Parts: sequence; C-alpha cells; structure tokens
Amino acid sequence: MVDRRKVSRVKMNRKSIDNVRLAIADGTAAIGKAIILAADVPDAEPYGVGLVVEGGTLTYVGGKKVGSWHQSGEEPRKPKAMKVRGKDTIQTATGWSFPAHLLEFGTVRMGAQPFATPARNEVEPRAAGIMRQAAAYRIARTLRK
Amino acid sequence: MTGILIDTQLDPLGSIIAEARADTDLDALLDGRIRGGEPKPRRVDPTTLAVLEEGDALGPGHYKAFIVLTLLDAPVHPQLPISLATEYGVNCYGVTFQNATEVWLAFRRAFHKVRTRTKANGLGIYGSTIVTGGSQDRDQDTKQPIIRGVLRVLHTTSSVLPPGS
Repeated sequence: MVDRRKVSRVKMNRKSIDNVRLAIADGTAAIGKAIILAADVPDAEPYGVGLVVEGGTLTYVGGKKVGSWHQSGEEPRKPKAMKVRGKDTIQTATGWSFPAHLLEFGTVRMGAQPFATPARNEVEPRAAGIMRQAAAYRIARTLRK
Repeated sequence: MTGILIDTQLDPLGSIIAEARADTDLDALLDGRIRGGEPKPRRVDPTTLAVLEEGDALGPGHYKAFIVLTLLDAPVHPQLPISLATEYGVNCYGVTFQNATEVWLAFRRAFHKVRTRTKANGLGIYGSTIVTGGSQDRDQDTKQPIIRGVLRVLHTTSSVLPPGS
C-alpha cells in the first residue's frame, strides 16, 4: 500500500541519468569496436584490393552523436539506412563501407564471403563483459569529478 | 563409432529449400527457383555452344524471380549437438522492386517464427526466425532488383530420430 499522506515531489537528477545513458552508450560502442576488430575481412575481387578493410562505429544518444571510431582514424559517416530518432534511444551502428554487404551476401557472379556475422557471433558471448568494462570506466570517471 | 560429437553434422539448408518449395505462395512466385549458395548457372553445350538451359541470373528485360540462400555462420554448441544460431543470407531477386518485395514477404511469412519440426533425415529444427532484412538494392552485375535479409535457424546437428527408425 502506498501512503498517500506523504506525497513528495520527485526531482529527477538529469545529470546522473545522462551519465548512465552515456555509460551504456560507451558500452555499446565498445561492443561495436570489438566486432570490427574481431572481423577477418576478405580482401577479394571483383572490387579490387583493399576496398573493404577498415570499419567503424557511430553512437547516438537521444538523436545526438556522442561517439565515433574508425580504424583509419577518420570520421565515419552515418549510413543512409540508419534512422536516428527518439529522445530516449541509444543507437550504435557498426560496419564497413561499400561494398562490404556484397562480400557478406554475395552477388549473382560472386559467392558470399561472410565476415561480419562470424565476427558478431564471436563477440556476442563476451558482450556483457565488454559493456560492463566500458561502462564502469565512464562511471568511475564521473564519480572522480 | 558413434556419438553426438562424432556423427555427421546435419545441414538444414536442404530442408529449408524443400520447405520453401513446398510453400504455395512462395512457389507461385518462384516456380521452384530457390537455390543454395549461388544461382542456377547457364548450361551450354560444349561442342555447339548452344544454350541448353538458361540460368537464373539474366540481364535487363529477362529478369526472373529467384532466391539464393548463403550461409553466413553456423556456430555449434561446444557440448550439445545443437547449432546456436545458423544464419543464412536471403537474397530475394525480383523482376521489379515490387516483385522482389513480394518474394521477400512470402519468404518471411513462410519462415518467420515457425516452430518445432522434424525432418525425414532426423534433423530437428527448434525454430526459424527472420532476424533482419528488407533493404532494397540492385545486383552489381545484372542490376536486378534485390531485397536482402537474414534467416536464423536453431537446429540439431545430429539426428533426433531413434536408431533404426
């Protein structure tokens, strides 16, 4: 039973909530980075050597970009298919640029050489640990301030 | 010598293709043109070079609807004779984008959230799910409209039928 006499106004500590969301976002970004690093990207024809080698991640919290990482050190661009929306969302995109999807799924003339799915499956069992470690780092840094 | 880790691993691809061909909606669109790994190649007489049988992948103006299933990954459980998540890339080719969408939706209806079934070879499928997909694209070689997706199948890697059955 809720004591109706003691009604107190709940004040949301928005700064703390933001830090928690950012910590989760750091965790998802770390998982994305682990997938990129675990992938063994085939450097195959017919699209030449070295087109699909480096991947990256992009992380959005509440529709705002909070993090990005690319193996080349450059700023990755948001994929067209990624819809960034919502105030309470945490989204991370992980991937490789064109023509990575053609290697993954194949074409009528070229057999599939999947590399992203095996990498994701390799990282999946460790995902909770990776997320915990990345989130703990952010929380510890926040508490130190 | 027998045992769950020594028996030949069962591959669900053949069963999936058979199920897809048995689905009336899907078969009405594809006429049996669902393949594993690559499209049906064109058959040419080696002496006369006459085309005996045209393949699935044709040029503009001659497109045919077909599906190619490609194995993305098949991780197995380290102790149990089951696959954790065998995933197939589903490449749905159509005459037009609308046709490709119809093929994709028919495939999704046939396999999404379909529960337990046992196949004649003893393969046990716990369930199949469409995990992602629906993005439109064109094939890089023939420019044929295509919709890609991913099918996940949880299955046994050895026969679930009793010995001698």
